[in-house]
Amino acid sequence: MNHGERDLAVRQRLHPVTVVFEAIKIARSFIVPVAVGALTAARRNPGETAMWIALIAGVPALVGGIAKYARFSYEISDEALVVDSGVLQMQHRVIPLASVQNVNVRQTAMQRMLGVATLTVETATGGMSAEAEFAVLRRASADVLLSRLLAERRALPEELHANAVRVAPAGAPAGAQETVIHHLDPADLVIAGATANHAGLIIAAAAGLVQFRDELPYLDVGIRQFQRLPLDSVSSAVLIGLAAVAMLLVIGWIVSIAGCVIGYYDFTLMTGGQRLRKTHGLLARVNSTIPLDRVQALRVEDSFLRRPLGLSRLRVMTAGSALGDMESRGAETITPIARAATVPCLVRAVFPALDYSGIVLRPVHSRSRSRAFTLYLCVLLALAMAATAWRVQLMVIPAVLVIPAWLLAAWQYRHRGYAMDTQYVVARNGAFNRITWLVPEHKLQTLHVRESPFQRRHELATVQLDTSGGGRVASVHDLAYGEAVRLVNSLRRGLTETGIANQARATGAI
Amino acid sequence: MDDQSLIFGPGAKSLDARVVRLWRWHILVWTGGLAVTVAVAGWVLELGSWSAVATVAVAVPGLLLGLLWPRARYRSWRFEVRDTDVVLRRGVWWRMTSIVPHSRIQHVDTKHGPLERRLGLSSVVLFTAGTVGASIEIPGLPVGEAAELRDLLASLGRAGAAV
Repeated sequence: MNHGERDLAVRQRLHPVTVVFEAIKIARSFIVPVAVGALTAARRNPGETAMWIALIAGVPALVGGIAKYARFSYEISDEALVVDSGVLQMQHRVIPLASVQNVNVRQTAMQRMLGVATLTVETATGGMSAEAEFAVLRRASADVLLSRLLAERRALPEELHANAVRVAPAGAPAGAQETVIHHLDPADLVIAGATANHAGLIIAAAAGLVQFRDELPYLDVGIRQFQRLPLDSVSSAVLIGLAAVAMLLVIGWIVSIAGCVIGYYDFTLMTGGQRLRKTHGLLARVNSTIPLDRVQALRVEDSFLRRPLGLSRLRVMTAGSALGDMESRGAETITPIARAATVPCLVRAVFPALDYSGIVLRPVHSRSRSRAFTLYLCVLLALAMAATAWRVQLMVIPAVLVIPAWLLAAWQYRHRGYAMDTQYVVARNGAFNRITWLVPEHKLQTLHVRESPFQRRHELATVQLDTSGGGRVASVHDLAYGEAVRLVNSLRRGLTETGIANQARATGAI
Repeated sequence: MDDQSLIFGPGAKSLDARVVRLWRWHILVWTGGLAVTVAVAGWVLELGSWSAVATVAVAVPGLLLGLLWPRARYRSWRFEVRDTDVVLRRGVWWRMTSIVPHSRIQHVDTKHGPLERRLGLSSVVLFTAGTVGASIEIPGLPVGEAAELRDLLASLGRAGAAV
């Protein structure tokens, strides 16, 4: 490999004024300590203070600026952009032009005066910062680089291009026929609100308990001095506490219902032209469009409150949305509530080739149950030890909990499963909030088999089905190790073709 | 390694054995730094013999970890570049096997810090559009081999990166 020598001829550098911009950037990170130091010392000895500021902030800034300029070099060929950077931690990055998603050229006022610009290159990798930043280039070089990076993208086939567009135009696409496939009445929304947010209710109740604890001193002292206190005062304190919790639960419940009705008022879901469009809201009317080719996965969520009623919530994970917290990142609600009978129809609107009602899930390995039970036993054992140290009689509580622990483990096992359709993978887990993941094979990015030390004791493994949806990742927990490997091996065959061919096959374009 | 044959073919590779030295140095530097901090803190707070005890309590587990962990970690690593994907397996306690199809690679890095440079080692990092597999690092490869792997994967990924 004579890479370095061959490259020398075509290697390009940043504009020398980079040194100044980088030095300013570094100096800025010193600004707080320097300002504090200057304010306290300047009155006594202005000359010496100026020297120290120059030494502490100026020298590292200048050295850093020069080092960055000296180390940064790049090269663009017909296939890839190659960037060398980093002073101590040296980095050599190869970005194939086919994976360039976004190119931006920006100029600050100062940069405009100097005739330079900052160019950033982004790929589909979900990072907070750009994959390559050229700060700063001569304006003309930035334009040349921009056109070369984008020339490659224009040559791409249309299917991929649709993905390269990050922000989909809002509103209804012109000329596309839309049909309403789902509509919710206020009565549906009351049910949705009444059965949603059980985690929120529990948190509200717990917060209420903590808040009221101060006002219920007997509850604290109660257990230790049980015999000494008159019985009726203890029981009345407990009663007040229970009443307070119940009241909080009812208030939380009403807020949840009202929020659901106002937020999702007149919820309408429409389909047409390879997009889903939804409108809802009483006060602020929301109108949002979900391009179907950006859907990475669909999740059917049925919490334990809703399962007996045959109700589910549907959400899709989409690519490219990096905002929001970990749990809801990239997740877009398709419907806050749907009856079991309409779920297959809604699933078909997102994945036309998938028959939801025809899915037969295979159970995960039954050792999954014993593994969960072992875990709970360990927790109970720790509890029992802590309880014994405090008061021997309290040991009864963990002992009584052994049976519920087994039931919980069995319950969780029953709600786990997976299936493989011709083009989709289905993964289900979660007992309290059961989530059924539907993932198109051609949207899979990477596959992982994870084994914790506890799983390895039982020869179990978890398969993670990674897409660019962000947030939580679809996974099949506790398969027998051999079965997990067989699953990823059969899936990887679907990933071998290029994305273009796969996508064409899935959308029926060819 | 009993179940390797389920995943790997004849082309499976391990890391360069020098990576054990690299990781030992990392742990040594961290342990040393921590031990010195504890010792200085003990001296400043005038804890007397307790500061010596605390320093030993930090240094001994650190040194033990440095002795055992790098070798175990090195042994746990295997990877193979196949026709259509890269497969990697690593982890001493929490083991993870990952499959990264060539078509899903967005871009590829090689990187090396000062210590790696002295040992002639370099890391390759694969970037995909995925969530858990957004970046996957293969540490401790000889510099030349890392550059070759990087260029190979970048050219294979070029065939069609997709979201």
